[in-house]
Amino acid sequence: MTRTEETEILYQVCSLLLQAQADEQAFTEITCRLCSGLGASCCSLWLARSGGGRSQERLAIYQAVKDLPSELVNLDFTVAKQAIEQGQSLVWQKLRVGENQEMLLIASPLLRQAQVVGAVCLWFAPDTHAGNVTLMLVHQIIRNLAQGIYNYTYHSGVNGRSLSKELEMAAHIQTGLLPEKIPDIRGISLAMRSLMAHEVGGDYLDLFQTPNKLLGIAVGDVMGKGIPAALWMAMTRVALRTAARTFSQPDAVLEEVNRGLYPDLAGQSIFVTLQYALYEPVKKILFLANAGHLPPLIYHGRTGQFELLKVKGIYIGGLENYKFKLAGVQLKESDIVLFYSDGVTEAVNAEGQQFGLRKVVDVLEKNALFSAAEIADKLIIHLGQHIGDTRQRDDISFLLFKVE
Amino acid sequence: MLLQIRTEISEQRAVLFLEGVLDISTVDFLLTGVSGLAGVKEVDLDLAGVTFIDSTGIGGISKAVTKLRERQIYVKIINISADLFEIFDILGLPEIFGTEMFEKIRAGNS
Repeated sequence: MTRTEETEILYQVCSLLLQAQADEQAFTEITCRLCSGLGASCCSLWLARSGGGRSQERLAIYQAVKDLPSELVNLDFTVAKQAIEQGQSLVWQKLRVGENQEMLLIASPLLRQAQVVGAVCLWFAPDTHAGNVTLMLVHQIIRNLAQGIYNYTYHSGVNGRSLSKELEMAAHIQTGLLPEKIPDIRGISLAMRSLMAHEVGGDYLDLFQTPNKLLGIAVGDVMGKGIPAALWMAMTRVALRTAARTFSQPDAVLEEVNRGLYPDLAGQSIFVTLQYALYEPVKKILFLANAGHLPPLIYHGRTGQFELLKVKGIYIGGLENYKFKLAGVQLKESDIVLFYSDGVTEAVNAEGQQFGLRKVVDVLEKNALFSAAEIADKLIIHLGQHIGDTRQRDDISFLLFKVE
Repeated sequence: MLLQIRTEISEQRAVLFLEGVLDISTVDFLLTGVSGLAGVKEVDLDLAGVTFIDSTGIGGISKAVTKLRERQIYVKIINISADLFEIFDILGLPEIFGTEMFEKIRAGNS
């Protein structure tokens, strides 16, 4: 068996395990793939039950060879029972099945953190080469199966309901991380909107007044989705707010955030895009530093022109002690500045078409005479019309202000 | 559609042709495929067949490159669409890994 073939089997099994939470048919598919991938005649997959003493439930059994002895099913039960109750493994064990037939067996408990969550039994023809390569692959598969079975029980039972409640609470906490009230800054109107694709998400929007009375704006996006992304989003918020109290320039703030988060982000191969801007309301100057986030869009109300304020900089967690660049732009009356996540421009409709930057500009252009809050509402309406009944794939977050 | 990876190895150079979706559901397949490469000194990741990639997929490519470089393997990303390269550029990947890592950038959508 080649390495590619081994990888292929592992990949197929893991992919099916991901489906298993929603589709129990996936377990039958797993046993089928194991038979074809490993050349087994029969495979069964068992779940350990622990209510009122140990018991077992067969999730699936697949016979790749016709006319196997009828006794095999009962013997399979007995072997799985020993594996689950006694933690007993059988490796290339020759067993008599029925009156005249012998078969080779690999049976193993599925262990997750020393706890038996199930068992797997693989039956082979007696002349199968009882090699170490197959055995090593089976061990790898067993590790993945143990985690998959654990996830299945966790999500499908009472634990699933508990998790759902925890998610609800997490969503409540995350909503509380959004600015409680929009700061009242002289000469501008401000608005922000956030539509999560799941209960919790990895988009980060923040607005606050700095100690020297400037408007601080932070927009970020954590790699991935769901709870892990939400955890990193919360950590990023703490790091940025702390740095913004100590440092006054956006580039220095991002450098401090990167210094703080880099070891953990790099260690887990996760990245965060982050943009931090400061608006000086008296001189109407916007200062900006960028860590891999999409450039803000500036719509010049007087000329009808728009531009992207591109400032290069790598994502947070990319390089240790990275020096970020600082840029500034002079704004004028009627200018609109939009900070956004990729969920805005990449929102797709039923035909798979993205909303795109052009449509965002169109919405700003057509509604430029309105206040920031009204423009934000129009943008949300247009995004909603574009997405229609299609499932929202990514978080949609944006923040905009208009120089009045 | 899941991710399919076809690997061609000649002498000490491997080309991994990625086809399909590179996201949270498939990224481990890429990492497994990369870690399984033995006895090579050069690896090309050919992204011509990638139809969709999300941030987890980009993180996976970044991780794959890092892991290969730790093993002193020279890595290139080839046949990447201009749109995807623009996203990589905004994220700063060429600055982190070097612009020479990217070759044969294709015009048009991914």
